Amino acid sequence: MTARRVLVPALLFLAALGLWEMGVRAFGVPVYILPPPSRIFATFFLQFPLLLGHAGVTLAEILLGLLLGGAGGLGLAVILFYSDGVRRAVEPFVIASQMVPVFAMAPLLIVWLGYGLWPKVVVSALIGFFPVAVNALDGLRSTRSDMVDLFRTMGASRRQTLGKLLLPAALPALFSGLKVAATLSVVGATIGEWVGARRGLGYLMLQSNARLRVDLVFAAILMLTLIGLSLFAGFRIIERRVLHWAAHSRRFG
Amino acid sequence: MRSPVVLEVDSVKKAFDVRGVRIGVLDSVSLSASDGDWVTVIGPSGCGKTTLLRIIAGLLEPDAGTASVNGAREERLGAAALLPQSDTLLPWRKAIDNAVLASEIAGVPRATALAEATGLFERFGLSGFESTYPWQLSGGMQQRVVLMRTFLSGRSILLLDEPLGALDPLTRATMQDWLLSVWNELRKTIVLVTHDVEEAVVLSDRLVVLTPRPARVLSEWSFEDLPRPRSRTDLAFMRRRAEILSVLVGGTS
Repeated sequence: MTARRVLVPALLFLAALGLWEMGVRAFGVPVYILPPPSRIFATFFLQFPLLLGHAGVTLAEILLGLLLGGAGGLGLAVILFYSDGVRRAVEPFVIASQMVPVFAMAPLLIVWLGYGLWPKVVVSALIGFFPVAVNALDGLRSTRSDMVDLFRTMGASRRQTLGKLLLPAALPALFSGLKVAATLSVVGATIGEWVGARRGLGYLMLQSNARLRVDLVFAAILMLTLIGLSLFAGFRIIERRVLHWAAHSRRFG
Repeated sequence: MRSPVVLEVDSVKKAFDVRGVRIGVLDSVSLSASDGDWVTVIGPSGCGKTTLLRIIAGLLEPDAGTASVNGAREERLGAAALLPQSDTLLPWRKAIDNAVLASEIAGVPRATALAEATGLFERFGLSGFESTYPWQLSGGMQQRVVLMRTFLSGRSILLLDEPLGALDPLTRATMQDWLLSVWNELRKTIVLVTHDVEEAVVLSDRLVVLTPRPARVLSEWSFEDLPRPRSRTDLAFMRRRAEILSVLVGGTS
């Protein structure tokens, strides 16, 4: 069963690569337009040290962005959860902020924060923050009221109720938000690098594109895909370890 | 010598607005319990038994009449331990961590709380299950963990809302006998809400029968003439059960 679940997509993937390879060779498409997969993989391995160096920068931006966006999203969710007044005042802006194309802000961020790591981190954080905030708030709000009442009869302080009941109950929702944010933050960091950077996979793609090294562009895309997949898988693993209980209990939160 | 009265409910009235319609739930309910008493409240489903417990627990205020716990009317919240009807174990905590939740919130040092709980696991028939998660326990065992948490709360008054309601009849009868022996040892004041007449007669010192909503006290019974442990097949026991049942079904005393 598991073997088949892996095997079928793998075969499909190989078939697509085969078709691509044969098509490119049969029609004699030049390498600077569309290189065959064999060439891309060769470049990927030959240029691996180069790719790895740039990937490290991009990964740092992604992780910092996730950390910032995740913490900000969770913090905002807790504040909005506790204060109806703040929620009414802030909610329109939070939603409106998502209508502002964050990528259009990237050039401004370069002006304000320079060519280094931070503008990319901020772009990454800005787009990761929204799914985390929305999901975490949802999780906090859906905590059963009879549980909150029980904590009140135990004499729990607001902080105890938050730490021992509301946050753990909101964890499954928080992880849903984080997984979405992880995927988005890869996009955010790449675009941040396109706008202005001296290092990173996005920078490498632009440079290679300009020099018609399309194989290297593809190799960078492959690297970004691997980063995104590992992030997603990483969250899945943490989620399974931390939330082992969620699979067995009725939706608790 | 009579023990002091620790819990008093006097002519309590409560009504709720449900979509603009005023629904009377309690219409003059009174009861009292002395230290170490077991008072049971019985009545048709939906008659307001849970509302009554929530008022005693301090989660609700009566519209008229008074409720006092340990002589205090204002600070009832936290004075008595509540065992709600719904499933209230935290799925992310092991059995022992669920059992010490109330003492943890009360600020009892963890080592002390754990030592106390570990001692009770044997008594509650749960030794060896300290580190299991709620979903790994049977319904009867889960309910024993909930009862242990309630007993370990450090409160002398326990409000039990159908603690055995979700169990199958056989487990339920066993749990009744067991609960009685635990109560004998630990001597707490208990207010039990149930809809099972047999359970009421097996367990309590006194019984308060409520009318359908809005609830009034239909009749009061004392079982002090029936020595514990009470045999369910004893003639006096069965006669008393039949009398209560006819009052409950007939609706007149």
